[in-house]
Amino acid sequence: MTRRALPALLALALAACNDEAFDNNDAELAVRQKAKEMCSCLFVMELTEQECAAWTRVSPNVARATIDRENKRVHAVALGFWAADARFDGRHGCVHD
Amino acid sequence: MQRLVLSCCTVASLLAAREAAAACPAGVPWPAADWPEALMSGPTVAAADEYLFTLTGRDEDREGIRTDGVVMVHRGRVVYEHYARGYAQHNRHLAWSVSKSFLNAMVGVGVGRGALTVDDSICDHYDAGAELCDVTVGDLLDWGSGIDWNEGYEDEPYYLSSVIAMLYGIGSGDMAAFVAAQGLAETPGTIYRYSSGDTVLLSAVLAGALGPGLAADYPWEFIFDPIGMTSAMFERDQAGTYVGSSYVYATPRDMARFGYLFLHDGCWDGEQIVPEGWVAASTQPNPSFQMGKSYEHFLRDGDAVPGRHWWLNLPVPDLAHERRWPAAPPDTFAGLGHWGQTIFVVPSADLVLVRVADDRESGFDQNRYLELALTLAAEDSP
Repeated sequence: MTRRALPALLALALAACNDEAFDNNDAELAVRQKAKEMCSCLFVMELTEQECAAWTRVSPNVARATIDRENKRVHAVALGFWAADARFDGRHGCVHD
Repeated sequence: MQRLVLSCCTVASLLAAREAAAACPAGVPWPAADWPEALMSGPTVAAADEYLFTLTGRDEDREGIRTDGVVMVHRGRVVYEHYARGYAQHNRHLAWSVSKSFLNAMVGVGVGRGALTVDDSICDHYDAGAELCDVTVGDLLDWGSGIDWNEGYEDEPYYLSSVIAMLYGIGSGDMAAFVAAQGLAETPGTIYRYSSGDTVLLSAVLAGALGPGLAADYPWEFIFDPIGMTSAMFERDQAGTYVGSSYVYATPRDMARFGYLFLHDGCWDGEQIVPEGWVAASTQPNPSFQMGKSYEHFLRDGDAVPGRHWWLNLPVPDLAHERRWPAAPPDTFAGLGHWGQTIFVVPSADLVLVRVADDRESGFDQNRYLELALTLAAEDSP
């Protein structure tokens, strides 16, 4: 745990408790964004994993993606708790599972 | 009454445009499998390269101008093309909100086929709930539904943003239902408020109007296939609604085909793809914007004037203000998207410009870009 990561995690913890406006927290949004946009970047835009990691990086950068190239799927997790999946569907690009 | 007058004006302008437009023009060069090329060189090209493609700061810091690709089509030929940062001619790029202009065209084709009209209640085609039945198809095209919406992006807390909740949060399973559930904040058709929600709802309304036989494939049947956009992909939500606000992908060369379709009033190779008058009606200040005189944020942010899912370079008669892109002629219109995606159409210069980018800052000067492109076009003129 670095000193730089602590404030982000604290902010996330606060956001996770926040139920104002829309019932989402930043970690949940980040993980769903990572799964969908990583899938689209890899399988629609056809960029490299490194380029797609840069394209999909958001703040707080807490989501990590696992890529299944054979089945064209992306699984993303954040903070060991939140998870999301997206899959490639031909000319309809990627969609959350 | 005001609304009725504006609606009549819209119809009148459609009819006038229809009279003015002859059949599809002859003598226009159309791209076949690919665009013909007449790539230019010289000092203006060098100046364009330098302005568009010089990175400032470290790439990982995402500072400054970060162009991924530019294609300029003048007189039906690619005269400038350049890619960077890992992109090449074959890569599709996310269009972000330029997708809205694609959806405009698809709605136009649907109207042309008699599936719906701009004056229809959205409830004629989609179960939006009784509160929204005064919203018309035209209101959605104007971003004038009055539906409660916060179009915020990365610059504010995510949980306050309607669009982020729609794309990635509680609304992402069935985006149109999420939009409809927000309810009205204003009387429909009386005020303009830019909203990706209006566009997604419009997408669901169009699908409902077309029925199950066409709802799955209309983007290809209506637009992508007829104009040869073979690279196009269009993403849907889990409910099967096309995310018309955000998720069209195509190569810049194929995006240029779409611009070229609108450059020629919806014609493609002798065939009227988008109905006559639709382009003209879509590239006038939209009725909700005029009626609501929604000028405060327009003046504050220096926005372009909203047409119907297109952006215009026109002056607003009520306001003494400079046009959004003073270097470009007033007939210029554009599809504009997040992080610098743009399709500019300049009919009087026979010019289509596509730029795809990853601008995470707001420093890119569209006016400078247009100035360079128009200089190139002038140098290319016979």
